[in-house]
Amino acid sequence: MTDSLEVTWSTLLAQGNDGNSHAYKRFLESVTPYLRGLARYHCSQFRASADAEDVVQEILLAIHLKRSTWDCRRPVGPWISAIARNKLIDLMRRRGRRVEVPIDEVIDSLPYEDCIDPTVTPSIESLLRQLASPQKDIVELISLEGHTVRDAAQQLGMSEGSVRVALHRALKTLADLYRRSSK
Amino acid sequence: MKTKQLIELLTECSTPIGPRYVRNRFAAAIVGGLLMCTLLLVALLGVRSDISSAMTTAAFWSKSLFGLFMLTGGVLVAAQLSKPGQAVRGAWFGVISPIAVVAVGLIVDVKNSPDGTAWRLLSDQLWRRCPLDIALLSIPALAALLHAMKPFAPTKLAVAGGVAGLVAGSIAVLAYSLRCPEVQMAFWGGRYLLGIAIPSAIGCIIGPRFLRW
Repeated sequence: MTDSLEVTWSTLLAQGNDGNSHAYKRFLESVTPYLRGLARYHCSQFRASADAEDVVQEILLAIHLKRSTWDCRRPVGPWISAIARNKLIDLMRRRGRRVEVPIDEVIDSLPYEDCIDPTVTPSIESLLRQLASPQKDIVELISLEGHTVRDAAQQLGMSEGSVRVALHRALKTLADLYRRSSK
Repeated sequence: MKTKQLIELLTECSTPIGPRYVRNRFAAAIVGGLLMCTLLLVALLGVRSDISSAMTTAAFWSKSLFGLFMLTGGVLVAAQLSKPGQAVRGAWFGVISPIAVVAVGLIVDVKNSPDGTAWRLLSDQLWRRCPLDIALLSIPALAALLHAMKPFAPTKLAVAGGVAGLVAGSIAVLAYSLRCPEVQMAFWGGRYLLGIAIPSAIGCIIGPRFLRW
């Protein structure tokens, strides 16, 4: 992993954690092609290539939910790698395989793979269907229809604060559902 | 949902994270745990009647300091373990040293006591009350700590659970020292260590199930 990537990502994530949502978005967008390369590489090793984008989304979700555990005085590369590795191992378990994913491998070789968004991933779709309202409505409004939290709040007649809380809960539920599906 | 849409979702959900988030959660769990342990002690076992005079003795403070050092050492390790990609290494020293000090003190004390009494000091009722009392007292603290650690991302779940148990046991030791009348390290050393080992083992077992993310 190059030094400039390390600097870029740690700066963006630090700003994101401070409350700068534009920086946070740029961080996620910048990290994604590398996660994708990683996911595709490991998934193809286990003939699970179709799951690659699912893994990318799971890793992004985990990065988001656990972003409070990154110490901004430390490099961000090992932090991302540890999360990615953890989710890769979960996927392998789902495929009924025991596998060792050496952490050094994850940090050192982050292949880059960009692409115009591939197919809609089936896993997250089926998980989203398990959400109850208003969580489901909020998720659909924001992700599918591109509304902001404020718009969604107005549309649903809720306060911005409660929309944020419901959204956070929806993401935690999604992560739980992913985890349960790996049993 | 396409990845691009998921990123939109995550961005909209991004509230600022305080830099002291992990620290604050641990602090709250420890304070809460201490309160609950002390209340439980007062309710179930009672504080020793000579507490005011006891607080002037070295024995009282050795026990309390042991608990305090284990607590701080344990929390530092637990905090490191809660962050993915961060090795613990040197922080283990904070936990190993108080254990080593007590173990050595225990051995020295046993060696220095007159023949016959030494083994009796160690083994007399070793398995009874004291370690079990400490383990019992540690339960609310363990619950508080595991709950505090739930949003974190430990990569070694059993170890993280075990250290949470160690911290809970140390909190219980702190509370228990308000009651324990024992003076010699030969008496309390082994029992306190065992009392901390029990919640640590429990934490090791339930950690992987409870702390998964």
